[in-house]
Amino acid sequence: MGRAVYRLLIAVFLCLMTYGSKAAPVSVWIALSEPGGVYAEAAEALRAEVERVHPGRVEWRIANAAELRQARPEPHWVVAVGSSAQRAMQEQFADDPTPPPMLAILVPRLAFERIADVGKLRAGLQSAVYLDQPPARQLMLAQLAFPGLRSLGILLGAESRGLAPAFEKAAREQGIQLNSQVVAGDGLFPALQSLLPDVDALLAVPDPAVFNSQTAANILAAAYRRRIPMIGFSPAYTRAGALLSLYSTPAQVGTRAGEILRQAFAGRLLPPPQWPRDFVVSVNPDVSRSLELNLVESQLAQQLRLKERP
Amino acid sequence: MAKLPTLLAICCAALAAGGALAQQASATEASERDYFEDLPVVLSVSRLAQPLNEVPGAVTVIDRELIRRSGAREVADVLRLVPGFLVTRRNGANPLATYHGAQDIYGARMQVYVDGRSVYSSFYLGDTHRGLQGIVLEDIERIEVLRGSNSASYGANAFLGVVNIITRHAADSRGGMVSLTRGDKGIDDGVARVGWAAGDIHLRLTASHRRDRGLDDLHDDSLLAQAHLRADWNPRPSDEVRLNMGSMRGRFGEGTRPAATNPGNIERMIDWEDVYMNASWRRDLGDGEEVAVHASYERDAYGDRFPYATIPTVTIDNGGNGDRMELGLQHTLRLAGRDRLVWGLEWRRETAQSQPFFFSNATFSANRFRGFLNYEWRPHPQVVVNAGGLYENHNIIGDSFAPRLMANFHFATDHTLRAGMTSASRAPGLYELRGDTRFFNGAALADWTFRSSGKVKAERLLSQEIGYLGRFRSLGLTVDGRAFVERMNDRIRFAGRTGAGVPNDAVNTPGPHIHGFEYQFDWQPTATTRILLAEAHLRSASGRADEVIEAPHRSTTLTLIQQLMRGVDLSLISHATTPFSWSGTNNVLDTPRQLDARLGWAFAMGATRGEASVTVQALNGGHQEYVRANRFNRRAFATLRLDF
Repeated sequence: MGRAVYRLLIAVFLCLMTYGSKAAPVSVWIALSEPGGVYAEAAEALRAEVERVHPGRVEWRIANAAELRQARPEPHWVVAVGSSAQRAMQEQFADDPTPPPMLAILVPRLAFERIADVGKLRAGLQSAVYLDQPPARQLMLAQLAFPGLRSLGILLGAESRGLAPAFEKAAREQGIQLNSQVVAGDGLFPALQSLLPDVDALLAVPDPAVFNSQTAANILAAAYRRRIPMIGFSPAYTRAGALLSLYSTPAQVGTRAGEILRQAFAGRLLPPPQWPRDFVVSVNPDVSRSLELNLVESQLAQQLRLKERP
Repeated sequence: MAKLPTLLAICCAALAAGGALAQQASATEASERDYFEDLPVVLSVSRLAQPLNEVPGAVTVIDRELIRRSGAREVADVLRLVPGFLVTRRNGANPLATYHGAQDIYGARMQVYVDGRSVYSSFYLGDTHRGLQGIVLEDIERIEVLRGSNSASYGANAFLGVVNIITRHAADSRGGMVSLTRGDKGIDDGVARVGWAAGDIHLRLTASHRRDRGLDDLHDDSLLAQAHLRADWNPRPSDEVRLNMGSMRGRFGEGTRPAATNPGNIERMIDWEDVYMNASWRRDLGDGEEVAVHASYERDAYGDRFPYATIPTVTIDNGGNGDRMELGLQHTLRLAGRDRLVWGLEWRRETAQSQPFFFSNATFSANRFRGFLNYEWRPHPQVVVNAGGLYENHNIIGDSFAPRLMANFHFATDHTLRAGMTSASRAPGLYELRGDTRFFNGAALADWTFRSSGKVKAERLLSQEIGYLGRFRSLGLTVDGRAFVERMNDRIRFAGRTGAGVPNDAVNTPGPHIHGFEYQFDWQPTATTRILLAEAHLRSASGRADEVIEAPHRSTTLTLIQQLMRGVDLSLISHATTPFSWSGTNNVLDTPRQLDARLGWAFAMGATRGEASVTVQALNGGHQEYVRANRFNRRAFATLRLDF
């Protein structure tokens, strides 16, 4: 009951705030975790998508989260790009009784959920376009790339353990045997040794305790020694030696966020968090050839899109 | 909606952990940085194995899984799975394998590598059969057999077949393992292994013993103990450093009964010792460029001294020792397009010291210097041409050159035709070049059996082949076929002995021309069934009847691996050849058929994995082995293995 009243109050307040200002611009802050790079790329794609449909309607302010700390007046909408921007913006408006809705982008699901305010999330005042890929999509790609796939291995750490139920559910639905191994205190190699003999392919699940720039080399090399292909989650993995990777580019995430944002302009509230809709499949042609697989990036991506949205 | 409770729990936990923790994302928390982090290139082009359809030759790969399921106790037994290989035991203590004909009982015409170390005895005839025993099967990651001759890449000795044994990376053998085997005919094998890490260095230590009573009615008991250490170190992602060292020690039964009928070969035990060290370092320079250097040292010694049965004052001695040292450099470059150039230099020194074999206490040595180059040219996306050769300078026999030209044509996806020719040479060993074997009764010469004039030249082989490699993915079938003509010239034989006191010499003789075809089918019709067929059809053209019969018209190995239920698998291996004779035996084997069966049960107890298995070799009763009189009779053994 209290929640309904709260939401109503917010809606009324927002309506009052913007009443009679149909032509008045909507103000949007885009808070970046760091200047430039992938953050700016995502922000630019978001802005381009909104401008495409509502040219000139939005008053943009794109800056580092730290620079926005003292900024006034409060915007109508906030887009936080990256985890630290999400955290900073959330703190900035923590005591605000009528905070602007905030859309976090370029954040992995686990990171978003760790930071997000459950109340605001439920109220439609916080949402996200995740950076990671839905488990079902990852497993679908594994099946497309390896038609005879019997068992898929995943290595989990303390952080990514939280994703295990979602992976298990997707695996059950797609009839894939999922073998997961938790990397515990005794280290990576024992975990790899007990996992690799039982799997046909390895799916990398982001967890800095398991997959980082130090361990990735060992995992890739150990899997390749057994001729077990690995599916990575970034272009860097494909370059480093993963057979293929599935990921969304900052621009793809930004564009999707732009669509969500402009649709939200009308309703004043944000939809629930969602996975990125567009994605890229990149194949390492040398590894593919060496493992005697004939994988074509464009075909795989196309098949995956068709399977996901027939 | 199912996500909400998880979400709540996570948020509550985060709140409970306190604001301070939430302020700063720690390195163990997922963030977008994981997705945008740059990584070093690990599997660069130079580190990747060449796909089989681009290799300039036919290759059979046997992985550890197949080795385990074959029930083999010896590497030689595993080689039965390769089309064109003949495997036998001169007696129970001397398992051996040869490719394309039973031309020698030492495997001297094939090259055997263990982790890049060439395994052969320099002191006696370039023997590889003992070296093949000096490895623990459980350490092997896979065996790659290059069928055909490949001197252009591997130098002399890669005359008929290259057996490349790759042991597991030390990081892949962490923890402990014990395996115990007991069975008929005194079979008593044990393996203990431990793998650990010291900082960035991964280490594996394996110790094993293998014991059995050999064939029935022969004095051929064998006991072989060995220990191997492998260390792997990646100081940087671009560098791989590997060190192998080990030692083997064996006692092997030899000789026949009664002593009176064969007084120079009485029943006795032969001692063998071998120590080796092998180090390699590879550096990836990026863009497909790599530099690799290796160094190895090995020393082996035989002890075999006994009295001549009917004249005890005459001593027979077959003992001696040899060592070899090798240094090598290899440089790989990626050129325009995907063309690749590999070149390298190698220096090898081998010595032999044996008073009875050389009638001298001196140490004899041979130095070889090699330079090789191979250009992998892709004139068209569907064509790979390998052109290259190896030049070798041998300080005793001089220079030789082994060229190769091979073209692979991918005429359809997954289907490749291959055609080409290569020449190879096999340099005579130190005994063939400098041997001198005399027997004395007191100070008087009792017999003179061998004296090398030193005139013997290298054996030559010219080989032409066409091959096909096809993969039918929807059927789970891989087909590899090869038709060949192999013209051997200057085959080295011992000849000239007409009676007591007249020694043999090592001489060159014309040698056979072998032609035929071989194929292997690897079919996995279902997830639980694998069927392998390896078959070779050979014909030998030669002026000598004893040479013609060395090549069996057909040799076949049919393997079925069937998973019966979860964790339980059955293997059946049938191996048969048409009649043939091993070189020098004058004995045509007419029932060389063997059926082996193995039943294995894999289990897990907590973190410990195990397997119990029962193997029956020669399930069909038994067969002739090497000569008609020797029989390999049915034998069963059970193995229990635990990995923890």
